[in-house]
Amino acid sequence: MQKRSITKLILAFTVSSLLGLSVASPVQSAENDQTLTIAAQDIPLGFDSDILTPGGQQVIPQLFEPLVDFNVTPRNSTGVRSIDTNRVLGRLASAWVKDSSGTKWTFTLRSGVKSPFGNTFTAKDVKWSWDKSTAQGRTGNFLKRISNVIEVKELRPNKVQFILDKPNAFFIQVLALTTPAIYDSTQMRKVATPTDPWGLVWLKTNAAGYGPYMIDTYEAGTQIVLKANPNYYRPQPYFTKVIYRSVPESSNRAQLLNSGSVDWVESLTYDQISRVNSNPKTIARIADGNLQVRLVMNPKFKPFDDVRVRQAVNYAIDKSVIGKTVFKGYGKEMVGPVVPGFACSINTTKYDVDYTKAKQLLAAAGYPDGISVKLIYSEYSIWDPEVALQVQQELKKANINVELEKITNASIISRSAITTRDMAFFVLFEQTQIPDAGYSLGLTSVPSGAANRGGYNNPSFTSSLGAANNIAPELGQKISVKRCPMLAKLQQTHVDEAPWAYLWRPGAVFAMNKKIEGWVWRSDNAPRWYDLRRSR
Amino acid sequence: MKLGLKGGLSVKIGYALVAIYTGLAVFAPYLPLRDPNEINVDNLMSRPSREYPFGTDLNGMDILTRTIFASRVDLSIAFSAVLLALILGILIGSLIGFTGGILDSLFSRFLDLFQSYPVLILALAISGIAKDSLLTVVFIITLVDAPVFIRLVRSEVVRLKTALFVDSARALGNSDFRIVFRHILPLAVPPVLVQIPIRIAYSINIVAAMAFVGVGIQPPTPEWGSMIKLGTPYIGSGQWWMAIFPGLAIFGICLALNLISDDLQKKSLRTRA
Amino acid sequence: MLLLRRLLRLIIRRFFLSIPLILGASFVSFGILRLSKSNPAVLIAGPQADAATIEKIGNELGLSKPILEQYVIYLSHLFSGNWGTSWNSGLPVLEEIFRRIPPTLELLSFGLLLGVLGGVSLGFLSARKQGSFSDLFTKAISLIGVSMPIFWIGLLLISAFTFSLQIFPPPLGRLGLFDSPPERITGYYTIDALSAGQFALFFKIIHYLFLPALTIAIVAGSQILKQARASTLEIQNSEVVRFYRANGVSEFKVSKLILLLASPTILTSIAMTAVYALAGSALVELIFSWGGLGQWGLTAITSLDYSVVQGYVLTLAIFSTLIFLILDIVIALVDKRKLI
Repeated sequence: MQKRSITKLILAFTVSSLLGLSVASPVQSAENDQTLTIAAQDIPLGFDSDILTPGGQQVIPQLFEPLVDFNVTPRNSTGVRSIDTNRVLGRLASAWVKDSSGTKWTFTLRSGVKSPFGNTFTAKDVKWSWDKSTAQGRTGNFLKRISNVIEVKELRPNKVQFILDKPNAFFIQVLALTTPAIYDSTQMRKVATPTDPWGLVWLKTNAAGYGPYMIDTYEAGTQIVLKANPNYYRPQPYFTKVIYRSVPESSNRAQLLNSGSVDWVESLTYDQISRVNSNPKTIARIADGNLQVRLVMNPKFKPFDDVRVRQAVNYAIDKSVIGKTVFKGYGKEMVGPVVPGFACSINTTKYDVDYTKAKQLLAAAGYPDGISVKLIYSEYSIWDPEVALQVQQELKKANINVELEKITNASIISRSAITTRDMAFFVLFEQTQIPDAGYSLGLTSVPSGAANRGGYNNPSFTSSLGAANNIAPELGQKISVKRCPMLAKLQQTHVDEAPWAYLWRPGAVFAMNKKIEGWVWRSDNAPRWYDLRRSR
Repeated sequence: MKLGLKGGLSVKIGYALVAIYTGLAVFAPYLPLRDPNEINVDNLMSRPSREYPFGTDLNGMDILTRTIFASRVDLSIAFSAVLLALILGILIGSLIGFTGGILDSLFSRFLDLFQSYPVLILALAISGIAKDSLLTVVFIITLVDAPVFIRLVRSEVVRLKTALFVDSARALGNSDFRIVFRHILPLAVPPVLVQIPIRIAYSINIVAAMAFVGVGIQPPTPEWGSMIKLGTPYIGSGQWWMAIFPGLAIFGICLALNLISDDLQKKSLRTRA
Repeated sequence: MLLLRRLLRLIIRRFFLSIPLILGASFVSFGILRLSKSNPAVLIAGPQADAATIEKIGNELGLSKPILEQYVIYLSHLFSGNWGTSWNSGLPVLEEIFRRIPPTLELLSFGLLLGVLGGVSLGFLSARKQGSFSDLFTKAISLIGVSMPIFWIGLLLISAFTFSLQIFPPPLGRLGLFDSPPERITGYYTIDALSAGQFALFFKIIHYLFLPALTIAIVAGSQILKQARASTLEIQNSEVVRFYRANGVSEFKVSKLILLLASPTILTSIAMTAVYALAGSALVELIFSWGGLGQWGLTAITSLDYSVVQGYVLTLAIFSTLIFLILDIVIALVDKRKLI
């Protein structure tokens, strides 16, 4: 039969292909020794550092160079190096002075710095970049306000001055962040249009900075390939090419790393991390990090308007259970709103699990039979659904009935944004990039804080914090210890008022091929590929 | 073997399976099973064993218990949706079939559209925007199944309408309503009932597919599709049981329903000829 | 030529017949946005948009106007090529659609081809040999294939062939992470690789294509098998066939005749299965990270990227229309061949 012989033919072809192909194994190590291959969760959707998209946080810092940067600590007991925020080094700025009032900072800019487009770095670039952030009114502008900057002045091509309205404790540390990034304004002016004066459309697919890397090819949503900026002012990096590819499933990422197909992967679950560590060719390097897993309670909504209810929630959760089930034993309990190790942070452990006490507090607040609440969660952090589930189970033991509601990742960010804040009770991470208690609280716990997702508003708290943050650093960079007693009191207040449920600090985990060296933990949780190299 | 040789054995297996599934679903709370949402901190992702015959998932929940409790969700949605769709089918189908005219042609074209489009995608799209609740899912599945039943009832009613006895019943002074109910429907409905098992199987598939994509029934409510979704990342690292057993459950009930449906088709062909 | 004129007439006829479907799909995709209580402009703009963007989009949609007028505005946008922008990627929806058609079409064609060949041949043969062991075996296979959810079959295949036996690559997409695809001529990797003479690459592409295509083939093939078998059974016992057989026509020719007579129903069921496979292949694409329309559309549904959802719903309507058009053409062509 014609059909039968055709079927046979197809079958034969398939079988022979199978046999042939099983020999052509798909497993390949990175071709070039000097190419770094990364399996990422997301690809950036643009290169504007004021508009952070999921993949952007990892890639954008490689394209731009800051005025100053943090020094690096020596290896700690676990062999991890991190940033030392007490010492700031000059990058695009070679020197700086502040005046006696602490409100005028003058920076001398490094000479001979060129962008991939061949333009030379001058004070014009600094002013343009800060003006752009101001105009956009987003992250960069928030950082400008929180560091009390009111104006950026070009004094000379190699001298720029920042004018503050009040002294600020961590202004110099803010300059080490990726936002506001310093752009090659000559190039940016070329791509600006009358309707798009800051070149934002061009920034969706291109970048013009003074950093060690530049964009080679960019396929939105799939892959971005970067190459070393030939005009970079420091020696060329070891990895002259970086392939940053989106692999949405964490299990696929883990498999790629374990098989040696990629050098570096992002966001694995904790049992995948255990597997990475048991593989002799790969390693998961862990730093204490600045990530905090917590629940947010908005005092605007009942029953969270009563502090006793919020405290009850804290007492009714056994954090060690969460640490064990969700984080497989990695990390530690949260101790308060600020990460331990931050300047002026204190330990305020107070809410040891006690279901009886929780019930008593609820009764005192007028809920002797318990309460029913809705907990909103998303998949923004890979562990959020499991945390929500565990919380539901724990709170049940104190007569708090939790109904779970899942929303999209984008929704949870927008609904908790400063303009909206319409969720009463939800799971969302907390992470501040400047390791300072005052900065952290300013970001998360005052009405104007960009990351104050629960709308916490305590006027005396806000004014005390303002005072603490307006104390200038000593010697131009070291954060003043005069602030510490004030900040200690504020952290204690935060814990007493319990606008959050303080759950867990999972640490910062980076899974990579064991031969990759040079990684330093940074507070934006992005490596600097410039620092990395492959050992023999 | 279950190859339909005698027709008898395979169908009996089909009915038996359906009975088992329904029984398990109805009596699940009374069975000696664990709490389906009980978290077992010391037994996360443990292999199938005597204590946990189907293993546990990443929260330590017993997969056997959850699979059985999931049948309550999946089967109740499928059964109620198909029932509602059947009722809608009888009501609307007989109405448009009997009335005929413009209403009939309009509706028929409209029903044609449903057949020419992958309705799973519609179900997913609507579910994405609607609230994630059991009732919403039932409503959506009813929406998907109703056109099929409306079509079937309509074509049967149209066929019977032209038969002679309708005219004589009318001549005797029976109202239209009576004609439809007492004379037409009893003959129109049974062929449509033949479609019920296969529609139930199809509905279960849609519910599971919706949960697998991430709309409709959400975890931790036990549901076969969402259990498969949660188990998918671990297929590669050796923890196969989380995704395999719920799928096996779907396979079992759909197999049974298909066996029954095949048998009913055969029988209905015989009565027609 | 007569044939060409006939084909042209078919195309025009199918075009007119499909207007209700596409209009209906456009109405549904228009209506989906208005199902929720939220402002449609907010849904289209995405959660990260600022108030100015939302207002601009609201004006574009004509939200202040009556709903029918809004629908007309929507239709006019569609015809002028403005299918909206995905807030997730920032790219125009139409552009994304064209980028993703080749992967989906490649997968669908390969999978359906396998399914049709397997389903029709096995269905036909098992009907001709009714009651034999191979018939029973085939019936069992089709029963199993019809009862398993398509996404579960995909996972089973991956678990068995990729991870246990390691003969297929992991579900990462059309090619390995660092493989370079062939030079883009059509966007269909198989065609491009062949025309560039890159035979090793071609085999690699098939290697990645095989498991997802097999998943589709199993589900589609089982459905087609059932229908092919049923149609063949019905035809082979019909009067026409019995007449020819009684007149001493060879079994071979009789089989051809049966196939010919059964082809309209079989072809129609293939079309219906293909439409069903549009949805099933989306699930397969999701599992295998294929990067086609299906994965894109499903991800948009869960992340609430509504412009994309609208575009996806519409595109599937157009695809369905094309499937039926192909069906019409093939039936017309098959009719022409009178073999006896």
